[in-house]
Amino acid sequence: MENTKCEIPVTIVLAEDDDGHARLIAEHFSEAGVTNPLVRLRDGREALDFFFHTGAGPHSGPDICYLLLLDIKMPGADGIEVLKRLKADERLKKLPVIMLTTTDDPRDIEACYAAGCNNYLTKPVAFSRFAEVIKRLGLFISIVKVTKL
Amino acid sequence: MTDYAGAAVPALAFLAGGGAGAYLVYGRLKEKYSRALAAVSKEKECSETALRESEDRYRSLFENMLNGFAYCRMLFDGDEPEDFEYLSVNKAFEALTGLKDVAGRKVSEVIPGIRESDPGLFERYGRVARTGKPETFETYVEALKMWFSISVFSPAKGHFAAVFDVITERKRAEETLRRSEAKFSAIFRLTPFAMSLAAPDGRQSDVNQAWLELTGFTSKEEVLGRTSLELGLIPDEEARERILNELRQKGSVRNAELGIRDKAGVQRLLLVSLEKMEADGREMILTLMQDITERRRAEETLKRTAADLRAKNKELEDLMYVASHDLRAPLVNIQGFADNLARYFRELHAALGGAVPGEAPGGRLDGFLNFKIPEALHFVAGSGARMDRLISAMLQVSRLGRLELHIERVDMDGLISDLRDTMAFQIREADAELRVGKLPPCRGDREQLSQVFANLLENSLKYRAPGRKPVIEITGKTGNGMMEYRVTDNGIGLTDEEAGSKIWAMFYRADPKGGVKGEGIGLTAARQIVERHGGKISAAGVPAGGAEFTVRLPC
Repeated sequence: MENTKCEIPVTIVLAEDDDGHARLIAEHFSEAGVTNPLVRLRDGREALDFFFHTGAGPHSGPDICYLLLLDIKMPGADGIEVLKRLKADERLKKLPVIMLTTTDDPRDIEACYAAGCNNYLTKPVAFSRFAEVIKRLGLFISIVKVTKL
Repeated sequence: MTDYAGAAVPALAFLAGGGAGAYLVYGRLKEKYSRALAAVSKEKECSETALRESEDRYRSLFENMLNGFAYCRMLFDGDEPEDFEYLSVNKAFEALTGLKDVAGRKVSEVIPGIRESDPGLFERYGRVARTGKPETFETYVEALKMWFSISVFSPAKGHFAAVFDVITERKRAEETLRRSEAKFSAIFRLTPFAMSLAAPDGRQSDVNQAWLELTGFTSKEEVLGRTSLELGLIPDEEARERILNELRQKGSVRNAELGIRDKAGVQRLLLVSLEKMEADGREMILTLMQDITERRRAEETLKRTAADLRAKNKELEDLMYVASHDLRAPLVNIQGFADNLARYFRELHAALGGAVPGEAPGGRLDGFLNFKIPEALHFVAGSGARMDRLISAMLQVSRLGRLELHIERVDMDGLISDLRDTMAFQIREADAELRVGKLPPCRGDREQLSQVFANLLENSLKYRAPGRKPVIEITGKTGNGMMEYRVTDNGIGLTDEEAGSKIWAMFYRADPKGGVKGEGIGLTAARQIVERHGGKISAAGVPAGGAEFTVRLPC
């Protein structure tokens, strides 16, 4: 299993069941100057299928570096469950995962860090704050050491 | 010493055989014996020697026996015994009574005042000396503060011999026993606990009134001589056996639970304690029973209620958490897209130069462009923001309920002084005066208690009366095992309805339209914190205008 550093831009995978949120995040990314390719998945099941290569939906490709933005509250497999499954996998545990949630409830934050997430972001309601969060996220993506899976 | 031997023989006989019969025989013998003694001493040399040897034996016996012995002559005043003279005593007499060198002296000299203090004794001795009828009795001699067991007889008219033992110790022990038995008997009768005394085979020998009341039997006669199994009291024979086994092994049983069925067939739960004890010289089993049926029922109800309450509370918190969580998701869209719309509209507005192409100003579309759309966007954004604040507030309250309390001794002077520093800006801005008295310490979570007083202070600052310099006073005292703190202001005050319930409700604000900011959760949160501390918070209007908040906390 080669551990090569990424040469091409990181692909951002967004697992988010709310279409509006997905659209807002995408828009704010582009406004913040984040131009990385973006893959939108609709729930936790799709996210697991994508990385574990199961099901009929899209799957992760070789030689591509990924970063996962994972919503917590999703129908079916929720974000924390997806996170746990990924971190329990020898190959996938290197995948950087950023949790996205609507609240900053300490219980959620704790559960996410306990399960091994790399970062945790609260979806702010106000545009100005959302833009700021996305900008910080863009900065994070540019400096985080992302490796191929 | 002449009468010594004469007294010795019957005395000995009395001790050996006891009783009046023996005395009569020896009384007569004594007469003959003394006469014979006189005759024989003069007549036969060898007999005399034999007799002396015999006398010596008796003398030695009296000298050395463990009972006290006194031979006395009664002195009468007419028929009344007036005094008596000790003719002879043995060693034990001295040892037992502590009286020395009494021979030849009158008792009124040896024990002054005895006739007055113990007239009964005089009477008995006098009677024996006069009638010759021996008597055996136990008596307390006041003058000596001692109990005696005495056998007295009369070896010669007007004389008496007393053989005695000091039984003060025994009497004391008997008295103690008697008292303790009386005590036990009183307890047995009067205690509200059901008690029974049974033979080792379980047959009831005594039960008290409480026992009858508990079991439903109407009289002791129904019960005595029968076992609780025979009485049908204990349906679970195994449980009974278990308790009896424990009694056999440990000698007592403490608070064992036992189910019984009373006479009416009603099941009852008892706490039973058993103890082996001796009563009337036999081994008995003392059983004490306490009916805890009601208590247990109440405890279980309480436990269930508490569990229900906890579950309900948890449900409510979860509901608040989920609600606020789920309400946020659509709100992100409302706010986000309202923002987008506003930006798109601003761009559109600028591109159009503030006018709808081909329409004169004041037209319908011009109204949309310049008034309706910006107004609609303003309302959506404003309400979205407010909704966001309300949800945050709700989350905050739901979190408070889950926060762990770190209970410690809280220096309230320090706490309020810190608060004054952190709130210095608000206090100055309101031009308020904060008066703080000496505050007793309490026990609680410092951070959360600080939140309580911060909320109360903020409240007083917010709801100040127009045109009046705000004065806020914080005082404290100890009362009813709790610490009591008061925050009093001279603000707009409270109606009774507000003080009683309204102000504590979530999102309640006294002046929702006015300039007062906030979500209306300050007092809700304060109450939640205080109540989680086991304390109480209350409010009241001050007649002169203003409000008074009282916080009671454990010390």
